[in-house]
Amino acid sequence: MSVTVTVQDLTVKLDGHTILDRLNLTLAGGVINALIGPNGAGKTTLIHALLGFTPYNGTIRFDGLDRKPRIGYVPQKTNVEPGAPLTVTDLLSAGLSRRPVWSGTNKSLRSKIEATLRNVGIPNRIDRRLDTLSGGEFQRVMLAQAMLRDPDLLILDEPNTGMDITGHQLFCGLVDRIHREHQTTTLLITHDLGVVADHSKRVIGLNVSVQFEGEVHEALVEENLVRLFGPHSHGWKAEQHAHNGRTV
Amino acid sequence: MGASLDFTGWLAEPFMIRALFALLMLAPACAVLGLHVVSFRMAFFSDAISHSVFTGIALGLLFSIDMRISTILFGLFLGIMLIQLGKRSTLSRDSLIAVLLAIAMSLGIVLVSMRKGLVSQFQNALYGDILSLTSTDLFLTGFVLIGTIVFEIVAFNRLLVMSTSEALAKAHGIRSQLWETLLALWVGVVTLVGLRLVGLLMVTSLMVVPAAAARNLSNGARGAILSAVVVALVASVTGLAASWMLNSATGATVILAAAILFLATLPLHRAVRRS
Repeated sequence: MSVTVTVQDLTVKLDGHTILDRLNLTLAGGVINALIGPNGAGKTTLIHALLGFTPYNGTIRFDGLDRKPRIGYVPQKTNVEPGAPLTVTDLLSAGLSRRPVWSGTNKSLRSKIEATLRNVGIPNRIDRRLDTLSGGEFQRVMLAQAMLRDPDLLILDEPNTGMDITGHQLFCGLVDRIHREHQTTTLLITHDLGVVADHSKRVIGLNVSVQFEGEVHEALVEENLVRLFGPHSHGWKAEQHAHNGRTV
Repeated sequence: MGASLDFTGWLAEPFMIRALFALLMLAPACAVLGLHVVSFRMAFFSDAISHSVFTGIALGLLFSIDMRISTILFGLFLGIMLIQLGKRSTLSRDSLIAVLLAIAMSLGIVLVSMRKGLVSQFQNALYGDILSLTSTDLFLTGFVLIGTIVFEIVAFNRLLVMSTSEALAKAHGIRSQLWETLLALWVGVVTLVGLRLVGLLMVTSLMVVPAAAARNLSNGARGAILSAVVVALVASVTGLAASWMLNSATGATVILAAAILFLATLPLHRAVRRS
């Protein structure tokens, strides 16, 4: 069953500054929810609150769950050092198993990793060094590590950063396919309104507080975008994007 | 002991056997920890801890406590200071370490220079004294080896995820600050025990050089650990034997042997990466 996440009166203050102010929003179950907003809007802080490593006031409820939620997370930044002797299996096993990866990966876990890597389209990368992967392949590995947790909520934090157009489109297509197969409640953080229009069902505009929230075709309108990003977003229309395939 | 081409004569000397045992315990522990030291860029941290020995020795003599204890206590105090200040200060970690290293060294030199008899202790700290190890030294080295094995069983996966992304580590429920602190403290303990054997100038090298060689020899974590241990063991035995034959400083000769092994692995790096 897909999980709906309800956020009520969420406030986060850091060093006396209000980063998030009385947020009330819903991440609809089983759909891709996009989160957009200018730099400094508090998007990353909201993710940190959902992941439980930023103190907050308010409530975050995972409806329909009577256990601790499992959250799959694809971070915006990673720092895999060039030359680090780490394989894809090392990283994926380390996140799942208590057994130290240097003592080997057991057969059932390796089979699970192989199946997940097949699902994200990189079946033959299991023993490759992380620093030899392309940006797109690495993001697929990160998506695999998130999916291996069998998540109730999947958080994708600007997963396309640094990818070329082809990699970008392939990755978005992959997210769509995996979403169709698993129906996992997904939170997608992106600056790309084209991605929002093409791949999400719902959208939340955030700038310290929630500016708008709703179905993409209703909420992604010029008035809301100007309110969120300022006058430079004037003229962008989701319908126009859908028609022309234009990306902002 | 003099310069000779006797390859096995050193094995007849009890103090050399003690040195061999100690190195066979310390070097693998240092090499395995070195993989984290390299990946978390902590070599400068380990250097700072080792240089705190000057003040540790002086404080031990001033307060009439065993210098091994005063050295370890002061080194750990410095390590905790570095970690805590690192969290609060806007200075970069490197700059902070440089400042604390300067304080630890200069304070130690001032204290020691006020008591002329302490200079010989300085020399032992600089170069190590592996040929006159006591049972306590061997016990401490064994403790370091066992402690490192336990640490690597418990912490390895967590540190691996942390080295990839701190946010990802937190999402996995890993308390990254706690594990980073434990890593720093354990590196501190191993450094302080190790400098009795190979000296403060060389103890960081005993961590970094085998780990660097291991990176040239392996693609994955398992291979890296095995390679680092093998390089450390081979360097220990050959370095110890060479120091006997050349009548040279043992610690430095062991590090030189490790460095030669590292250079020998350089051409293999590309082939290993492609494999």
